[in-house]
Amino acid sequence: MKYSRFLTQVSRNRQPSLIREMTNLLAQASPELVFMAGGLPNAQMFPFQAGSITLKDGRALTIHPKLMMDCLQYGPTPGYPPLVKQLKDLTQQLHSPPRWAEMDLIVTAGSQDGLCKALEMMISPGDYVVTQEPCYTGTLSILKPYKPRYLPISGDQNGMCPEALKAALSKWKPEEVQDTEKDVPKDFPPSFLSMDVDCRVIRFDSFSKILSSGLRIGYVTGPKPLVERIVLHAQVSLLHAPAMSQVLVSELLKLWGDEGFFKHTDAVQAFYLDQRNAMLEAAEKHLSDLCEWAVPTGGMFLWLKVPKIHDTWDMILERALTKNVILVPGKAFMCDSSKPCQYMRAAFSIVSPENMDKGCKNLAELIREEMVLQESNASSD
Amino acid sequence: MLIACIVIFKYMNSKTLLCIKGANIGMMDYSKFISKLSSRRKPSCISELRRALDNCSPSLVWLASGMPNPEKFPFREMTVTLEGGKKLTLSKETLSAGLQYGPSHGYLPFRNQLKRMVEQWHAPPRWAESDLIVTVGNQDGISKALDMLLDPEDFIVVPDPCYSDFLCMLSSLAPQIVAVSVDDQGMRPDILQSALEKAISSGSTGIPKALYLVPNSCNPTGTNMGEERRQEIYAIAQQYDLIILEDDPYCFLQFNDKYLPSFLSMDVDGRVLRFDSFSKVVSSGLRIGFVTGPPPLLQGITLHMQASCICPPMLSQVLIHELLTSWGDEGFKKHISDICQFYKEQRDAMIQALKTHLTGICEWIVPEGGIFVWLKVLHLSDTSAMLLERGAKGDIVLVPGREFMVDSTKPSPYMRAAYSCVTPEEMMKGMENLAKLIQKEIELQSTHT
Repeated sequence: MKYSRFLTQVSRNRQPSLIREMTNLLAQASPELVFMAGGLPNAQMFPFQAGSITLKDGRALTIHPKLMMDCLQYGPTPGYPPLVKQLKDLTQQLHSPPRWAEMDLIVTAGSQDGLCKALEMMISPGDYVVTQEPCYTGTLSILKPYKPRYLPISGDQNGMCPEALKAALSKWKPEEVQDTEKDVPKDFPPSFLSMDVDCRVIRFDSFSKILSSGLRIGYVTGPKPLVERIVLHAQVSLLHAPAMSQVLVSELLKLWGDEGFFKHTDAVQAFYLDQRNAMLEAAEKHLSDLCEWAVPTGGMFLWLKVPKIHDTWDMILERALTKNVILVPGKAFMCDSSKPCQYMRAAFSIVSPENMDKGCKNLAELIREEMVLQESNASSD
Repeated sequence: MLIACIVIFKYMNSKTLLCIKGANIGMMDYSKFISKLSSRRKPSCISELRRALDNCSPSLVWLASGMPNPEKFPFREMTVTLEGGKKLTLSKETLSAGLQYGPSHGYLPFRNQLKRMVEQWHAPPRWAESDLIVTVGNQDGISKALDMLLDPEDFIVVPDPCYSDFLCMLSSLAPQIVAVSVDDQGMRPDILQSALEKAISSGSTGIPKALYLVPNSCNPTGTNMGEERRQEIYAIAQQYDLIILEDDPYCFLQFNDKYLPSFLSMDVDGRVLRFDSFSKVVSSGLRIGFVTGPPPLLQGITLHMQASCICPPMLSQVLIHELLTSWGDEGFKKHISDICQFYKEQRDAMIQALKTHLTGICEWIVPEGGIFVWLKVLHLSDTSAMLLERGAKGDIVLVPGREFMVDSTKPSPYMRAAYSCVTPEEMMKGMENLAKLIQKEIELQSTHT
C-alpha cells in the first residue's frame, strides 16, 4: 500500500534525530569504540539501586542493580527490547497478522498516546473522519482541535453497521476490495489485525485494564512506514515509554509465561463478568421501566438509553449530584455535541454491588424527577 | 494593560544600563500566544465531572470514569533500595496510587512537593498567579508547548547552535525560525534585537511568539548565561512580547557556587514557561519532568496531555515523591552535591585529556557545569563526514556540529563531546583517537585540494 497519502505534512517532515540514530551504532561497535555522542547522564549517580515487587500470588519480581539501570536510564524509542520482543511474540500468537513481516511495533505511554500520535500523524484540519457513534471521548478529545468532518456510523449490538458505513462512504469511489474470508477461532473474536491482508490496520493494545493503568504502558502494531512516523514523533516528545514500567511488565510476563498470563486474563474476565451481572441485577431492579440497554458482552460499561428524557446532559451535570449518583451523559460520546442525546454511560468496574443498587435507585429517582421537570417545562412553553 | 514602569538596577555596568520593566499590574493577554489548533482543545467531560468529587457527600455513587479495578492489578508491594542501603517501602495506598490513572497535571502530593521546591529555589515574583504540572520528561512538556504556541506563520527565536532535538521538533512543525548567534554566554542581545526587527518588518502574518534557550550548561555549547545577559534578554522579550521557554535540565549540575538566577526568578510579567527535569539527577528512564508558568499556558499543555498519555507515569511520580520525602531538603542537597562532585571530576578528566592530545588541534571553552564540551577543530571546515563516515573505524564517536545548527546545510567545524559516561582512561584513549582522526582528515582534505 502507498501510505504517504495518509500522512500530514508535519508527519512527513519528521526526520530521525541523528543522536538517537548514532546510538544504534553502539550495537555494532567494536569494544574499543569510545562513544561520546549521546548525552546520557551517568546512571551510577541515580539514587535507586535495586528493588523488589511482591505480586498478589506471593511471588516476587527482583530488580537487581543491572536491571534497575534499565529501569532508570534512557532507552530506545520503540521500547525496552526484551518487552518489544515479548509483545511481538504475543501479537503474532494472538493475531497471526497475514503481513507480519511488513509490520512493526512500538511501546507507548498508554495505548491512548499511541492513538493520539497515530491520529496526529494523519489528520489535518477539516479532514473526514469515519467513526462509530457513540465514540470514545478520548478519541473525540484528540480530534476536536482539528474540526474534522465526522462521518459518524451508527451501530447495533455488534458495533458499526456495514450498510451504514458503505452509505457514508458512497460519495467516494471505492478501490478494488479483496475478499477477507478467514477461519474464525471459536472463542476469540478475530481482530482487524488478524484479517489485515492489505496492511491497513493500526492496532492499539493496552495493559491498563489488566496489569496497571498508572504504569502507562500500551503498544501499537501496524505497517512499518506508519509505525515509523509514530516512533519519530515519540523521539522528539516523550522519548520513550517509562522504562521502569516497561521493565516491570516485561519481568512479570517472563515470570508468568503464556500460561500465567492467560490465567490472569481469565481471572480478570471472571471478575468483570461478576461485576456486570451485579450491575444488570441492579438495573433490572430499579430501571427496567425507565431505561433500555443491551447486555454488554465484555468490558466495563453499561450504555443506558432514557427514552422519556429528551437529553441527559443537564440532568446529570446539574442535578445528579443532589441525588448522589454520577455517570457520563451520552452527549460526551457524540460527534455533534449540539444535538440532544438520550443516553448515559455507567461504569461497573469499581463500584460494589451494594453501591450499584444504591446508584441505580438514585438514578431512577433522578430520571423520574427529570420527567416531571421536562413535562412542566413543556407545559409552560 | 497597565504597565507600571519600575526600573530595577541590578548591576551598574559601565557599558550597559540594565532595565527590566515591571511589574505588570494586570495579567498578560495570553490568548494571542495560543495556536489555532490549541485554542480548540477542550477539557474532557469526565474531567469536568471529576470536579464533583471535590465537595461531594460520602454517599455519592460514582459510575462515571472507566477506571479499571485495581483489585485485579497483580502487584501487591514494592520496595526499592537506595544508594547507601536505605530501603523505601511503598505503602499499600501509595503503591495503589502508583498503579492507577491519576490527574493529567500530576500526582497531587508530588505536585505540591515540587511547588514548594520551586518557590524555595526561584521565589517567582508572580508565584501566586503561577502553577506547575508534571510531564512525561521535560522534553514532552517542550514539545507540547510548541504545539500549543505555534501556528506555521509564527516566529520562534532560537540560539544558533541549538539543542538538536528542539530543531527536530521545529523541522516538523515548520514555523518561521529566528536564529540568533551565540557567544560564550549564549544568545547575543544585539543580534537578537536586530533579528526580531527583521522578523516583524518581514510582512509575515505571523508574530514572534516565543524564545527558547538553555541558560545553564547549554546543549551543545556547555556555556552558562550570566545574570546581566539574562536580564538583557528578558528586557528584549518584554519589548517584543515574547514567551520565554526556559529549558533547564542541567541546573543542578553546576560545579561552582556562583548563583545564576533563573528567568523564572525574574519573571515580573508572567511570560516564562520553565521546564525542569529529573533526568540528570534522579533518573532519565522514569520520564518525569515538570513545567512552571502561567495557568493559561499550562492549560494548553495539560489538555494535550489529557488527550494523549492521559497522565504522567504514576509509579515514576510516586517513587520520586517518596524519595524526596525520605531525603528531605538536606538529603536532596547532599545528593546534588555528590553528583556535582562526580561530574566535576569527569569534566576535569576530560579537560586533561583534551589538553594532552588536542592542544593546537582544537579549541574549547571549559564548561562550568553539565556534561558537554563543544570543540572547534582549527583546520577543518566541517566535521560531519569525518565523524559519521570515519569516526567509528577510528574508534571515536562525537556528534558533528552541523546537527545543532539551524541551517544544517552549512559546514561546521564543531563537535559535541559528552563526558558523562566515559571513564578517564576512555577519555584519554578517545581524545588520542580523535587527534589521529583529525590529522588523517586534514591530510585527506589536502590531497583533495
